[in-house]
Amino acid sequence: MSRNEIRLRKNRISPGDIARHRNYGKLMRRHDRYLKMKRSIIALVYVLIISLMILLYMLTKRAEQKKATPAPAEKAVQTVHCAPPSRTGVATLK
Amino acid sequence: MSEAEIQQEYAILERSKRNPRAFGELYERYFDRIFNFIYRQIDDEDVTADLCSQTFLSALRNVTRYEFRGVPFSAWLYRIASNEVNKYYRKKKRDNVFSLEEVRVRELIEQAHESWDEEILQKLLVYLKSLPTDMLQVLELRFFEDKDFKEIAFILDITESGAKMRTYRALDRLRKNFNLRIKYDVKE
Repeated sequence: MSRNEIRLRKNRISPGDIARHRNYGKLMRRHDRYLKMKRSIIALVYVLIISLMILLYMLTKRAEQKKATPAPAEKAVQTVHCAPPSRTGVATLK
Repeated sequence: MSEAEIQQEYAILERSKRNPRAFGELYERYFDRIFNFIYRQIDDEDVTADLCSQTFLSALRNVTRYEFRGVPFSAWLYRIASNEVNKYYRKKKRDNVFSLEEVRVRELIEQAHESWDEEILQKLLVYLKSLPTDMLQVLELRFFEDKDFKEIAFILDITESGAKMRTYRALDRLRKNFNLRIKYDVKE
């Protein structure tokens, strides 16, 4: 259970004191700033999503192109068989 | 609040959804009440001004989502203000403060047909200090803001019967301790 502090004050806060803090113009300016920021963030998110989609599209296209081109024929491998070394020590080609 | 007043307020809200400038009328109408409500729970003018401003800003940002739920628009503002106060205390990790106007406390004691006495007042303060925060919030809304149980339930996000129960329990203990004859419903 949280503790509470009870205070007793002689007077209500005066309407004049409250009026000092009442400023709808200031509130509207804060709200406008908030709306601008919100719009910027939404625009940024859209740009990011579109960029990501373009990137994915390009990657997929590249993968498809790779699949479509036939694989190059295997090169004939020339094998050289060496005869076991002769007794003279000179290798002879078969 | 009459049906016509609720309708008029609803029309302003509908206008505010399209044009935030229209919200100014509601701001002017409720600023003092919300300020006093927050000030009673904070007891610091500058912090109250910040929280009050934040309350109206949140209301303005979310006005498009506002739906009529059988309580006046002011209850929605009180609810936002109450959340702002709770958020402030959670962040500051301080004890909750309830700064009560002596004039209003005197009025309430006089309503209960008791003679005004400094000793009674001091005992009352000790008693109020022993109550949990949720009970004090209900009592504040009931006796200092004159809200009905439906509105209190909406503001504190509890059931109507829960709001009644908290009030009755607090008042029962008050009667036992002070032999006061406080009515359950001050509007009666």
